[in-house]
Amino acid sequence: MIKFDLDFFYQLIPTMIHYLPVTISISFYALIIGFILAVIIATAVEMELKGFSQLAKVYVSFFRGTPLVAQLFLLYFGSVQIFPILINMSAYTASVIGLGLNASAYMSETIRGAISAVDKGQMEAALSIGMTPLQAMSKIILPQAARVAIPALSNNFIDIVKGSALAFTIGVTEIMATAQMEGASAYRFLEAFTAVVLIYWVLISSLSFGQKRLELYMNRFC
Amino acid sequence: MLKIKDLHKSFGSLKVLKGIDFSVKKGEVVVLIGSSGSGKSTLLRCINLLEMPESGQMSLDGHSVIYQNIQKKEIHHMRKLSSMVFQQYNLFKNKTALENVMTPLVTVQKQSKESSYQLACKILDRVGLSDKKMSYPSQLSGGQQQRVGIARSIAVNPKVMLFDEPTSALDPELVGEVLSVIKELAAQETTMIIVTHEMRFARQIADRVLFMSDGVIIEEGAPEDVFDRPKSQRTAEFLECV
Repeated sequence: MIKFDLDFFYQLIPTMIHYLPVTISISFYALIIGFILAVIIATAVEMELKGFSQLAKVYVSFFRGTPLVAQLFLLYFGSVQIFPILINMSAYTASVIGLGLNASAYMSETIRGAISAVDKGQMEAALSIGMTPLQAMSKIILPQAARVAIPALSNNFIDIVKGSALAFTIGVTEIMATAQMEGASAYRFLEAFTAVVLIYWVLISSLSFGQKRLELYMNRFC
Repeated sequence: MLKIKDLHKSFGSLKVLKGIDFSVKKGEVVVLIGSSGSGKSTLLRCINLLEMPESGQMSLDGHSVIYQNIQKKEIHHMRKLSSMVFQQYNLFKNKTALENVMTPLVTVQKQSKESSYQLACKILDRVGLSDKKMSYPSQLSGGQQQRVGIARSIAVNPKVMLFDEPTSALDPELVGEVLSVIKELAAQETTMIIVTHEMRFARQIADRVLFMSDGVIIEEGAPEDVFDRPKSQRTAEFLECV
């Protein structure tokens, strides 16, 4: 019977934690890009900007309808043929952009749902006192939609963190890649991948904890 | 000061307003009565441009618009001249009572935070809610919420205040506090158009009563004339039912 090499396992953990900032920073930047795009898309669709709705539908359908890994490959290996300037794009940047675009599609749907869950009377009241539609959106509707959207958006963020493991497939050395390399060099895959899933688990559990706190804060006015 | 000419509005194939003509003088309190579906609320919403009529003209405080070719800018400008008190209050749920009243001052009129704060406090005091400044709408009773709604409407500093069944969603024992605030406003010569089912209140407060049925104004006049000596058969029938 093959024994679980605890010593090797323990010694792996710090090595991996050393690369944890890569995973976290990719996820964080992707979250920012995804969130900003998602708010723009959702707001534009909800405010029925001409021609934008169709465009947004195709965008969302594309990113939700194809695998993330295929999108990353297309972006990193494929798009250079059309845009030679992208040859200088690092795998890290490509991961951030790819994950961000992908996440924006999911998040825009979440935000759109949350916006339509806000009582129509809120928009009317805002317009009736002389606010512009954009002011009404940013000061009244979106803050209320945020409360509804936070739980689902947190799930979207967790998906980004897990999705960041795919950055390894285009050559970014983050924790998944480290697990693969360390495991391969010592022929100790059980220990390596156990370590990596544990780290992901702890990371995402702490995110969930933060999510709960955030929800409590957002619920202060109801 | 407010003049509406030949206003038509339909929702799909349903004609809701079929040629409305009426005017309101400065300081006048006009009460709209009529059965549900007669178009009273829609008329109010057309004045505030929450609904866009198909045709007609409106002039308010010297600004005239023709509904058929109204521009976005004009819509925005006209909205600032009137303010609406809603049946369901529609307070901004993410803002405290004070912030609700400050919003028209800060966001729309671009007044400074301090002067807005001072003014908002004064207005809240007028509706008797100085002690509820920091409460969110969910922490207030219906009557208190509606009084904040009225305070927010005052803060708009409108030429005309529109009330869309302001007491219909309230528990009976809370109606009085809201009506007395409206009476207070009437005493200060605020120009108001009120849609209500409170006939006793209508009689007390109105300078003029308009009876609407099926999208047209059937009868208008002083409250004692309309309530006690209705000229039209339909007005008489309606008043018997309520």
